[in-house]
Amino acid sequence: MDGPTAIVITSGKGGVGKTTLTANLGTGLALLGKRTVLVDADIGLRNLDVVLGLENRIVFDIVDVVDGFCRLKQALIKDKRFEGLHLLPAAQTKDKSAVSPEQMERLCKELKQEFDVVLIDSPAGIEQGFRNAVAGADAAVIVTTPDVAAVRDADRIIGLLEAEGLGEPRLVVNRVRTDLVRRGEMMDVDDVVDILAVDLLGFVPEDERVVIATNRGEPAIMRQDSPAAQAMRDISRRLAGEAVPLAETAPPGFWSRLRRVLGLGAG
Amino acid sequence: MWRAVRDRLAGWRLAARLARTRTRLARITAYLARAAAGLARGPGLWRRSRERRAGPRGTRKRAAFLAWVGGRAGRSATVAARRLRMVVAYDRAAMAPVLLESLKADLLAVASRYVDVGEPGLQVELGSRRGAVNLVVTVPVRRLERSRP
Repeated sequence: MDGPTAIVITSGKGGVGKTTLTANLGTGLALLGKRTVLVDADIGLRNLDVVLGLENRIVFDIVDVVDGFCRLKQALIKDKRFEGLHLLPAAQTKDKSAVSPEQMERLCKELKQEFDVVLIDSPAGIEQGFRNAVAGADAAVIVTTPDVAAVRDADRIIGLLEAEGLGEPRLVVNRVRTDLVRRGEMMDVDDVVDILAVDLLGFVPEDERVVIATNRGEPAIMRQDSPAAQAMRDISRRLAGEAVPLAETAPPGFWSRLRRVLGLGAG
Repeated sequence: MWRAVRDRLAGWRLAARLARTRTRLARITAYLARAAAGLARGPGLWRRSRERRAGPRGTRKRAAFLAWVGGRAGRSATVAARRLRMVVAYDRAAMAPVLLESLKADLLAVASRYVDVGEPGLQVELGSRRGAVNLVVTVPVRRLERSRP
């Protein structure tokens, strides 16, 4: 990562874990020493604050900022638990048309002067809210789960991002159930990457500890006992520009071991 | 005592693994036997029956074969990946499946101006592999000489 970057986290389909991932990756980046701001671009359906456990501290929101009702500094919420982590909350009472793509672009530019990383949590869908979210972004991260609906929507989003000039999005496959993958009842990460033909940033195994941490308003990424947290820590480091090798989806099975023994490819 | 339990457990695991390997080997042997007899029912590898030859070949076929031998062919993950490849290809081409039917008819008309075409085997498919969308057309030819002078 050279210089400040604005990264939009988007998926097309709702419910794949965009907001949870944004909150955790933001925390991860802050823990790596990056000055990070999370922007909730889901105007009207504010959620990032409650996932982060900052819902009681909101005074102003993003619409107040773009309307000039308050200064940017006043709307930013500093997370006291993590040095360098900030949130710019969405408005809960307005709708997506309260902000225009041009305003978003200006806002991101302003934020990049203060922060190393601007993470934008995009709303689901491909309408105005999505267009706003991507307007100020320099890069995109696509989140999908290994199911047919989410992957199809992700493919559509990749096309739309290309049209917006965000040609090389990176993919996070979220909520991978390794037990199902091993039994051949869930697509593996390779299948998804092959279908979508984009670079893989990482995958996160399904982990109930993420649900539990989110219920409490704590970022799961802190937990040392969680494979999902480990995966998200690795993804944060990759976002920060470190080269972290990808873990394997499942312990190597019969065929990959046989292939390795026979020396056919990396297995 | 504990060691005995552990050894027994390891023994069971080994037995289970051997059993799995055996079923796989049995599968391959059965396949080879059928293939040799020209009756291959799995995705074709060495010998393709007439209908099979019309299908798309190459990596997808090999993947299908590996999935089949590995016992994954009918699994929902394989089905999902195959369905998605189709759907995504149509999405990218922004083409409705109905349009494909009319493309099929047109292609058939054009091809039959030059060769004698057998309509039943005509296959037109959109597929995507590694980001590129391919239009795969398989036209079975009955006779090579032109049907008209």
